[in-house]
Amino acid sequence: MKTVRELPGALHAAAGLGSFVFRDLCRRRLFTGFAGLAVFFVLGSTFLVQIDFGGDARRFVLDFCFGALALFGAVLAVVLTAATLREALELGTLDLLLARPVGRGTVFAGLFAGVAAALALFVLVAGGVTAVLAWRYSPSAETAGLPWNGFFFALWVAWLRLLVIASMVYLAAAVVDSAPVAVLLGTLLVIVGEVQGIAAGVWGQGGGGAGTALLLAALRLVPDLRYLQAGIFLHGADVTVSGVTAISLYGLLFAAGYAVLAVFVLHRRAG
Amino acid sequence: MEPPVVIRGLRKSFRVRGRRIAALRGIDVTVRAGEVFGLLGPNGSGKSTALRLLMGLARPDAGRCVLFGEAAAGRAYLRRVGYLPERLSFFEQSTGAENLRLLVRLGGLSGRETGEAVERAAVLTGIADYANRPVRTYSKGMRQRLGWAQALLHDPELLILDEPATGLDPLAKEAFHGLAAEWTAAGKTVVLCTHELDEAERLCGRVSVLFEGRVLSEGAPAGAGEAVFRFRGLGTSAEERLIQWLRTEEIEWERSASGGLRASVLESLRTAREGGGG
Repeated sequence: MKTVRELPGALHAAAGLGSFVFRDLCRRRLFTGFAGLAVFFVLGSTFLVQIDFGGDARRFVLDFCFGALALFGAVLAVVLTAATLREALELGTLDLLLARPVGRGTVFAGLFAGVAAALALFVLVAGGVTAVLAWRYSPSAETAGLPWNGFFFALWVAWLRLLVIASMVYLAAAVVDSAPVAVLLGTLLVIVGEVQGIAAGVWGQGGGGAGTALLLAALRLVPDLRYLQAGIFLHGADVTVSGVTAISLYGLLFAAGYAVLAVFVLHRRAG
Repeated sequence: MEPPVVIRGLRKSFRVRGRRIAALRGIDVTVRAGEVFGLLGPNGSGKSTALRLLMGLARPDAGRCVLFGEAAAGRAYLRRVGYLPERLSFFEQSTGAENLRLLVRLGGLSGRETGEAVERAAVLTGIADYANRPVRTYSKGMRQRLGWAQALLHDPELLILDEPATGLDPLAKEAFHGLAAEWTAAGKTVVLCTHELDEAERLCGRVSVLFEGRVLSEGAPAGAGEAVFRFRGLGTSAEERLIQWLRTEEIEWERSASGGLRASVLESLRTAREGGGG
């Protein structure tokens, strides 16, 4: 455990490792490939919008682009997180890092910070292209009221969602012994996160016994990813400070909780 | 002077598919300041596990490792230690120099010191020409040199090297031996783990022979005939594996009167050296 006196040094080391891992991840084909794919789909929206769906063009572009961002971002978050931690553990990079006078917690926090930063860049690139495309189309009555801060909050929540997914996969990668199994388990957690709201609604209505109540309680341990949807900020809904704060706290608490749990598991499994 | 490395009663086992496998069964080793100490033994004898425990990368089941008077559970002594792991892996997309800069930074140096340390280590290990290339483009020899460079970054007093020249071509091995000679001349303490007898004989002042997690014997490779290795009470399967290793390394052995094995590794080394004209 770090003492308070050592903490600034540990934070400095974690930040240094995080920025290094960020640069290394951004150079990977996996990252550039998924970023390229997301941008390709975002740009593709300009062709699809030619087909008249009978709706607002700007709204279509925004929905389509944020959908692509959420889909490719989720896959990237799962694969990148699992690969980063499992490679460090299995190939021996971790031994090189831990041979320096830094704590395990610092190293694992640094690795996670690098993944989080890479996901932020992904969101910024895809979001930037989306912004340029969307504002080319004249707003309708439906989207005229969409302010820029609504768009930025949407980007923030999109990143927060990826951060929560990454933290769940980080825990999965800490628990299991290989990257493919970590990807599978991480994907399962994402699916549970996506459908748990629906499941809770269905099971909750039926009343059920102790088993159902236990299952619902267990489901609550996985974040409801539907709560972290960027869409509500894009559709002209009122963006209130309390609303944004509640969503942010929800996402950040789950992300921090899972990441801390992962570091704890990695500590316990060391040696 | 306090010995830089003291190992007492070190035990470590691993759980593999539900079975507990003993990697170290209580070893005692003391490394004196300024010497090159070899941990010698076949694959699976527990050498790398011992070094990982020394570096605090794993926790022992029992016993203790003390480096520079500090228990290996702490981290501060790592400022005085350079470590070359057996499995060497870097951040592949980054350059060799970037990897080194990161490790220097984690070591607590910053600013101008970082650049100087990286440059010094790169020149010393001969990687300066390709230090600015991504590590993914490196050959095995280049990676190994980068490994030596990272171990030397903060000019450590103690070097812990796990199979530092295994799998390298003769030229690269020669380069490593030259480097090791420089470290020795500079008064650094080196703990070298190897399964190659000729390397141990060439570099080490003293060696401990490990087999199946036990120290079978300790002696000076270049010493006289008093250092005779005795292997007793290992059990049938372990004894068979030991005989196999002795045969592979062309070490002469015989059964002692008590039924154990008796092999003079040092004598064999000396014979080999004389036979080779060295």
